[in-house]
Amino acid sequence: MIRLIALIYMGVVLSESVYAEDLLETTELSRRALSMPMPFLNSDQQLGQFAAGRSLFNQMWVIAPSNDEEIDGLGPLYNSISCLACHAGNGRGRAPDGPTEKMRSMLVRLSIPGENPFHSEPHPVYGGQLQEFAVPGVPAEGRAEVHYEYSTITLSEGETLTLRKPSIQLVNPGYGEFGEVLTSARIGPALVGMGLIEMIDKQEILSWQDPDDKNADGISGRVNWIIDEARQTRHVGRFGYKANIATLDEQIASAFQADLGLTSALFPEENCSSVQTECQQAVSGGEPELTAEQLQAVSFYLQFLAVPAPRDQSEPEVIRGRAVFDEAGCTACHRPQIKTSSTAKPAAFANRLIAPYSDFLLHDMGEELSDHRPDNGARGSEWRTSPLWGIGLAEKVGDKVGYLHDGRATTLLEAILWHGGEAQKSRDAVITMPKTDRDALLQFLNAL
Amino acid sequence: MLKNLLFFALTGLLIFSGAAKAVTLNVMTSYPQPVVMVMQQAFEEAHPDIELNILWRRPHDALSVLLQEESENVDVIWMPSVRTFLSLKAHGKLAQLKINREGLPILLGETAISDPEDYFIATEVAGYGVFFEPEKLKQTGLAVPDQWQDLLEAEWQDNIALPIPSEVSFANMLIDQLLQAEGWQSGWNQWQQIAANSHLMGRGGMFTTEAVLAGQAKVAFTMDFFAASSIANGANGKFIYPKQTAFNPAHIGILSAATQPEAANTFVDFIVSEPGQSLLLHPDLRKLPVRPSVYSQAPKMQNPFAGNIRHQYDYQTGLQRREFNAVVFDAAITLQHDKLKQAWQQWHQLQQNADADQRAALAEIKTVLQQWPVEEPAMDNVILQDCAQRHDDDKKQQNCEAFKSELAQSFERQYDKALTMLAQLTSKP
Repeated sequence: MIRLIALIYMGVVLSESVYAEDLLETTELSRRALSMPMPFLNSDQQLGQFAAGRSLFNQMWVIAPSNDEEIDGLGPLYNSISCLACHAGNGRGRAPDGPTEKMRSMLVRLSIPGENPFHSEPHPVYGGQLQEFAVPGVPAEGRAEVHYEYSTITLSEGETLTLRKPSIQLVNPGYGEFGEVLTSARIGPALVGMGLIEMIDKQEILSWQDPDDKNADGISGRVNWIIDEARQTRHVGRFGYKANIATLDEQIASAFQADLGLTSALFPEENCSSVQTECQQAVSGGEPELTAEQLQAVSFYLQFLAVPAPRDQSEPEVIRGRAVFDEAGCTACHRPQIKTSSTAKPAAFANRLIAPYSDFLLHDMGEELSDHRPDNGARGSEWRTSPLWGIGLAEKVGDKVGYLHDGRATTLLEAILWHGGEAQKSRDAVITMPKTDRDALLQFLNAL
Repeated sequence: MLKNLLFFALTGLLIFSGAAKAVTLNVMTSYPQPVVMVMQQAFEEAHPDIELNILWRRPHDALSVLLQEESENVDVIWMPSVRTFLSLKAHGKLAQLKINREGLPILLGETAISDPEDYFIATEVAGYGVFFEPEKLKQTGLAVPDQWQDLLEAEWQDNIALPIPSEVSFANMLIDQLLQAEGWQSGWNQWQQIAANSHLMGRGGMFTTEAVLAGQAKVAFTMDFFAASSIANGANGKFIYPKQTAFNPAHIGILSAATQPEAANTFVDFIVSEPGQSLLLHPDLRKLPVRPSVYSQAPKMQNPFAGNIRHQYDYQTGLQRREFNAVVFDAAITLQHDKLKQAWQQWHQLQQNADADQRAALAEIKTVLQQWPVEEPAMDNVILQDCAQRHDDDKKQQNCEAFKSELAQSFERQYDKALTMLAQLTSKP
């Protein structure tokens, strides 16, 4: 009971101290819920900058050469023509429902098997990512089909659910057989709050590490350190499903390069492998194709996308759901509070208590979620705790969305049921808890 | 354990499987992602044997590419740009469509929106009007405008968001429809006065509708679908067509050099079909269908084919002088906006309590402000032609720029003169 009161208090504190006095959140509930500027951007100049960044984010990029030089440079190999294609309404992408359906907001990472459990080499021909499209004169790399294996799971009180486990099959190879290749399918993630994530106090994240599970709670998160060899420094990985990108600019520039084929100062090379000669010889849209100003504009836009304010926080069902969330141990990784750095920029981001519901650490999520593909410091079964803020609005902003890294889950409950490894106990608790508690838990998540 | 790992590693390994390739149809478009996404997904689901390869270009770029001897391999062109389709047809680059036209009117009002010879067909139309937030408008005591001329009044000062035609392409037809409806000089004089009440909106910034939602303006000039999709996405706004407006059609056509003519006709057929047209009602699109039967699914959407909105527009005239108009707009309005605003604001202020003598002086100042040194150009006017082709020819670009510069100086002198006269009037005891 005391715990429940404490949680209710925490909820009130969260909803009031985190959100009420600041100007970082939006109360918008429409299809634009994840597309609003933070309210503290209120000058014409700031709103103009935000709109300019959005314009580039929504831009359909053009194959070079073009009369519109400022927007050319798409490809030579690419997954989509615009950022918006994979992040409709800045929300989540989805997986195809079967092998005949195209990947519209999903892509497949590639590498070759090796001995190192934390790192794997990109495919020598196809590189680190399968690009399904190419400019004229350059062969596309092929297609990825998603096949599913279905199973049924029974929860308490006889509730049943069908789960689908994806496997990827690469077809129509453009540069010879794929051979032995490791794959990892990824849907476009939701994009809100990225500016705040970048400004989270590093010590906060480090304080939650427990790689050897010394406190024996079954949770052993660890930071994915990103090594900057040139500067001989290391940084906490914060972005990406494997927490293997440290800064927002790098996250944006890497997506432009790998997904759209646009080079930038951070990623000046076209995404062609050494044997893709037509790709190497294709006309470039400039050096780089995405100018520093354009990168900065998109960065500004994503940095200042408002975080959705949690809703219905005083509703009994939501209060109960929050308690269930804690009792099931979800908060061990989906941390409800986290502090930004005191030196964060802009000043409006400094010393803020925010609620992304993540610890930004890598956790072992079990064999079922493992892609068995080591990825820049993370094992196949390790995934960054996904932030949950705004997750309840996912279906409002997108026509159809998916959950988890590969979009296999079509609902939040399915996503929970795929949790394994360090989250196994929480997942089992959800299976056995009374249905009313499960419903309350979902209600709580939908209010985030 | 090792066995398990090996098993999972092997299931992660991939072996090539030779799935049958669908026909690839190359579609050049200038539509934004939401339109492309909705249409492409629905089409490919309906026709899994055809895969769309989207080649995105702005209309002028698309035209320049497609008019080249060895152009990109494009099967279908699909975009809102009458000029592009007329030009492609004139250059023999389009093939006649083989589709069923039943239920698809060629005329909107008295204006043809599709090619009578079937080289291209309208896929949607978009009309011009104003967007506003009813409650906020009411709070400020401003009446909902029902004709463009309502926005000339002093009460609209700083309350309008007006797109600049040289930067926001949809504004070209917005400007010209008033010139066609009101006559050359009268139309321009009305734009001068409206612009003096406006915030000018350029490329890459906020949409005009957003200027209203952000409180920067009370009404915005826009096209119906910008407003309607904004409303469908949660904005608390309203859109109205003034009594007289214009509708701009978008088209689809098949290139005569298409390598997949059969698949191309299937795509065209889909876009104008009942299911294809219904997709225009998606909240992110909200475009006006060209198949009138679809309007029964959207009772709140105004059906321009029902004849309730006056639409009369000569596309040929508008197209031929669009660049010229944009240059004139910049010379008379964009480049002189501060002076133009200042002059009209002072004029309205003085007009409020003016005595008979002052009224006479103000009438004279108004005449100065509204002098219009540019005659309505004939379609073979050299400067008009130079401005129309300025993007393709450096010499023509120089000529057009010289014309703009001279004109801008002329307007500046005129506005300076008006401001001096206003200052003299103010300083009189």
